[in-house]
Amino acid sequence: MWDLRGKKDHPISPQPDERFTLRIDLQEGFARDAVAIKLNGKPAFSKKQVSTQLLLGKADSFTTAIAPGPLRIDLEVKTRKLQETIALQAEGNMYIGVSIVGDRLIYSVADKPYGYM
Amino acid sequence: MSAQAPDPLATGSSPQGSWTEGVSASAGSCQRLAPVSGRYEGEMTGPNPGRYLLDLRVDIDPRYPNSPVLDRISGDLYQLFRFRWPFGGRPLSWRIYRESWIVESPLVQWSACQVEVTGRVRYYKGNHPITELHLVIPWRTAQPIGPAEVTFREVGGSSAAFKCDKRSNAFRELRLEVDVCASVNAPPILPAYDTHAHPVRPHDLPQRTLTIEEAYREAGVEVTIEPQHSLIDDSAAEFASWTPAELHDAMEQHFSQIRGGWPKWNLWCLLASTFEDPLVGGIMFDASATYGGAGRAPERQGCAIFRQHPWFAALTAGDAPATAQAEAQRKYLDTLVHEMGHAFNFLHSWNKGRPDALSWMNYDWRYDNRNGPESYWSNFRFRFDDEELLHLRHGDRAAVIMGGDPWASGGHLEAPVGALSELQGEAPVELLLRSKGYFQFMEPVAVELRIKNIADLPLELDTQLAPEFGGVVLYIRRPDGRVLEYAPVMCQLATPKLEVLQPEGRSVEGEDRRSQNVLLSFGADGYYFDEPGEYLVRAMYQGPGDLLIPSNILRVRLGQPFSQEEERLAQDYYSYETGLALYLQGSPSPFLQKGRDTLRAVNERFPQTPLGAQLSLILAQGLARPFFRVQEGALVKAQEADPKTALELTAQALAQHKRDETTFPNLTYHALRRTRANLLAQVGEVEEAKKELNTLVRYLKGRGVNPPVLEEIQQYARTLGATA
Repeated sequence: MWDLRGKKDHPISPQPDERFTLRIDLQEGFARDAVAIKLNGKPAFSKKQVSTQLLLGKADSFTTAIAPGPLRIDLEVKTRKLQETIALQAEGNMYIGVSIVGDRLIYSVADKPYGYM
Repeated sequence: MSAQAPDPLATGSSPQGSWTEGVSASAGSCQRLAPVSGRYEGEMTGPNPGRYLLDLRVDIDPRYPNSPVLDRISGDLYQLFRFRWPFGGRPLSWRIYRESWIVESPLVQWSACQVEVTGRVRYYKGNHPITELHLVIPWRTAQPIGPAEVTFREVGGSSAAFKCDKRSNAFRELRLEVDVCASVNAPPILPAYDTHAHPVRPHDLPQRTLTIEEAYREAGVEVTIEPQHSLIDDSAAEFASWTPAELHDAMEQHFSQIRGGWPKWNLWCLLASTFEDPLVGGIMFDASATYGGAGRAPERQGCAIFRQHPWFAALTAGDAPATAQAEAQRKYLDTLVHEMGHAFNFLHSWNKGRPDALSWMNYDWRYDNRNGPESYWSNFRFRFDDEELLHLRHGDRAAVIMGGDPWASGGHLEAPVGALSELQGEAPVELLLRSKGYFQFMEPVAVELRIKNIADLPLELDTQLAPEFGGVVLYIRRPDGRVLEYAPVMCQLATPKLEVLQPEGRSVEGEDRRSQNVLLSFGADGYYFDEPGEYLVRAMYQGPGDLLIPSNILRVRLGQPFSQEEERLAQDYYSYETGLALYLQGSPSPFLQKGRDTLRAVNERFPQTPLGAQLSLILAQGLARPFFRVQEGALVKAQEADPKTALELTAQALAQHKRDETTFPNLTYHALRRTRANLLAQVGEVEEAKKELNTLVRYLKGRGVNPPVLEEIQQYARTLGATA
C-alpha cells in the first residue's frame, strides 16, 4: 500500500488559527458494518450498517476541520473486530481512503479528494 | 489459433483510409480491401430456410488501428416469424432472440481467396449436443467480403446452415442519446481528447483524437450519437443535486427510446450539474438500489456525468492550451467511456480481481495507490482490457445489451432455453404480465396474464392462459439467480378456448383482450416463491400455428419474515402438503388435512394482513362446495359445503381489503366478491348476492375496468336471480 505520509515537499508553516480539511472515505469491502472513528481519542464518526456501493466503490465518508500538528486516527469496524491506528502530521488538507481487504483494514492518504465514478 | 493471419494495419496509423491504402491478402482476382472481421447477418438456408436468423461476429484479423484481435467467433440466434392475414392486409414480421454462443479456440486457415474457420461451439445457456462450427468467408477484388457460409454440425448428424452478409466492421451497434441540463449547457457537450495533449502518457502511445465514438470503435462497438440534445431545465429554486431516483425519473421523461420493448442497444446519458455526493463525477445510475442505483428494472439504460465536478473545472472545447485543460478533457472522456462501460455490464477492474488492469474501468488513483504516483496515466493506452473486450464483443447477449441482465449479474448460464427470449419487430399479439408487485412473506403469489390483439384485424386466439393447459410457459428467476420453468402440478388436456379478439381501438373497449389470474406459488417442483427477495417472471404464449409471443418481465418482491414466530410457521407452510392444499384452493381432501390445518393456522395468526386475507379466500373456496370421493368403487359425498364458515372467511378478506386496497388486485377482488355472491345464493340470500355483485360492478367501474367485464358480471347477477 502506498501513502503520502510525510511526503509533502514544501510544508507550509501554518498560521496559529489555521484549520485544514480532513475527509475520510470508507471505500471497498464494507457490508452492513458498524464503523467508529476517533480523532485524537475523541469520537468523530459512528455509524451502523455501512455498506460499499458497488457502483462507485464507496460506502460513506465524513469531513471535519483539523488543527495543524500531530493527528491520531483510530479506525474500528466493530462487526469484524478490526482496528487500525493512523498517526499523521497534519500539514495541509488530507484525504484518507479506508478499505477492508480480507481481514485487514487498509488505508491510503492523499492531498486531494478522491473522486468516484 | 490463427494461421497466416494478415497484419495489414500498422498500430498508430490513421483510422481514416486504413483499408484504402492498398492492403491486400492476394494479388489478382482476390485482392481484399477490407477486414474479414466484423458483424455478419443472414437467414438459415437449411434445413428450415428462413425460419432462423444468425447474427455472426468474426474476430480473426485486424479491423481497426489500436484494436486488438481476440481470435473468437460468436453469434446470436433469432427465430423469425411472419404473419399473413387470410384476406390480405399488411403482413407482420418479428424475430425472437433465442440464444448466444461462442467459439473460443477457432482454427483459422487463410488462403488466397477465402478464410476457413472451424471450432467447437459453446452455448452460453441450455443443454446442447456437441456442436462444431464450419465457417467459410470468401472475397473477390472490388467486391464486398462474403457472404459467410456458416454450418453448425451436431454430434449425431443434424446440421444447420446460414448464409450471412457482412454488415459492419464493428461487432455491435449502439445508439446513444445525450441530454443536457441547462445549468451545464456549455461546450464541449461531448468529449474530444488528443492523446498527446497531456505530457504524462506512454512514450509510444499512438496519437489520435479520441471521442466516444472512436474509443468504442476501437473496442469493437459502433456508437451513433443522436444529433439532437434535449435541454432540461434544472433551475428550480430548491434543487441542489441529483439522486439516483431523480436521474431515473428524468430518464423516463426525456429518453426518447424509454418506451417499447427492452432490452435494446440504446443508452441515455445526462449531462447534469452535481450528484448528491459531490465527489462523484459520473454514475451509471440504472442499477439495483443495493449497489447505489435507482433500483428500477430494466437496468443499465442510462448514466449521468456531473459537469460541475472539480475534475471538469478546466474543461474547454478545442485544443487544450495547457496541462490543466488537457487533464480535464482526458477525464471527461474517461468518465463518459467508463459510465457507458457500466451500462455494458462492466464492474470496476478491482471488483473483477484485476486491480492492476490498465482499463477504462479502473480508477487512476486506485492504480496509482498500488503502482506509484502517475503510473496509471503513464501506462494507460485508452482501452478496455482483453477480458472486457471479450465480454463487449462476444459475451452472452443478455449480459451485454442494455436492459438485459441486471447490472453486476452473471450470464444465466443455467437458464432454460426461452427464459430470456425477447421480441423484436411487429407481432400481432401482446402478452402482458402484471401483479401487485410486493407480496408479504408466505403470501400466495398470483400474477395476471393478459393477452391482447394489437393487430389491425380480428384475431381468433386460444384465451386459456393457465399453464396447466400448455399454451403458456412461465419462467421464474429466483433471488439466487436460478431460472426455473414453472411446472404445474396438473396438466390438463382440453380443446383450445378459441375466442375472437377485436383489433385495438376499433371495438368496444376491452374486446381486444382477455385476462386470467395464475397462482405461481406452488407447482410440480414445490414452492417457487419461498425465499425473501426479488423474483423476475416471464411468460411465453404459444398461439395457433407457430405464433410465439414472449411477455414483459415482471418484477416481484417477496418480503422478509417479521418475527421468529413467522419463521417457525414458514417451516410448516413451505411444505409439500401445504403447497398442494394451496394449489388446490383449500381442497377438503383428507390427504391434505395437515396442509389445510397449516393454512388455517397461518390465517388465524395473521388475520389483518394481505397474507391472512389471501388465505381466507382460498380456504373459503375450499368450503364453498361439497367434496366427493370414491369409496369402495362409488362416488360418495365426503363433506358437505360449509357456506356459513366460508362467508365468515370471505368477510375477513373483505375487511382487510377495505383497510388496504392493495391487498387484492382487480381479478382477485372479482373472485372474492363472486365467491361471496355464490355463497349467499347458496344459503338463499339471493338479493344479498345480487347486491354483492352490484357492489363489485361499482368498484371495478371506479378502477377503470372495461365494459365487457362489467356487463358479464351484471349478466351473471341476472342469471343468479333467475335460478334462485
